[in-house]
Amino acid sequence: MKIAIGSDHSGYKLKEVIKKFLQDNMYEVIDFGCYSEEAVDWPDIALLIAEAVKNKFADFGILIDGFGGAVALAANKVKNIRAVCCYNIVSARLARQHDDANILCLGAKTVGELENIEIVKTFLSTDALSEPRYVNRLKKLQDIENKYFK
Amino acid sequence: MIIAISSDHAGYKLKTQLAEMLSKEYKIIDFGTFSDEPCDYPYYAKKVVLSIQKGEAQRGILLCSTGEGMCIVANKFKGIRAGVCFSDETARLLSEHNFANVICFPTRIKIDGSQITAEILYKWTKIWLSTGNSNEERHKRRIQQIKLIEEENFK
Repeated sequence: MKIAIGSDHSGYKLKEVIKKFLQDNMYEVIDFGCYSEEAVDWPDIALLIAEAVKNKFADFGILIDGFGGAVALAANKVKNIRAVCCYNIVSARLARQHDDANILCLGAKTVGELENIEIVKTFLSTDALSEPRYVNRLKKLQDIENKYFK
Repeated sequence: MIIAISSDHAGYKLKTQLAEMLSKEYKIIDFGTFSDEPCDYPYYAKKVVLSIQKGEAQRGILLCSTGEGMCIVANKFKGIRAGVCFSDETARLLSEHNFANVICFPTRIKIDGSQITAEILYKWTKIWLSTGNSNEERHKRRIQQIKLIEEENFK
């Protein structure tokens, strides 16, 4: 499985930890930066990851900033992206099961390193539910995208 | 200030309580849902964000089991900046750094071992509403970049 990963400066250190965890567990990782703790703008990185997932260069994306909210906002401005800010294991599992999320957004300042690794494990090992009620809701989201996106 | 609010069935009870508490200080437009009957969150998220887009409401509050489904849908609309709130700090940052005009609350998730209550959501709402958008150049620049992404991607 191929994972596109990216962070802003506040998420840089956690990105390196998550990247190593993924590589140790045989995931193919594409690192879109940033590459130091020097300040960058989160929309730039979020857009790179969103485009990579949208264009199927990666199966899933992982984005990290201070609390995971800013990068989720930016990534969702791209069609076919369902980015979620996950703050614990249950929210990560439900993001996959109910929302078929394709980008996981993490907070480096709000959630501990080990908890964040557990969130990543849960997100990547959970499948979207195929029951009609979940599928129908995602269809309605798709209708909204078709109406408002180019 | 006029606040538009909605939820799916999972957020119905807390939405009703929160709307009641906020209605003492703000004008609230409640877009439903109005029962525990299962419904689809995209429909209710859309009602709130369209109300903001039209200028009828200035802010929006969305509730579902995790806050996440609502948040994805809301961000699919131009000019809407939505984020999930799960602490005092995220309530503040959503306004200060993300200039969020829509806040999304989880209703069925325990935070720090505690169930979410209407009182907690009221506190987070007040923090979010009372915190201004940062005046710092870097934050304003990033929001400008979001607007450019919207220009590029939206009709």
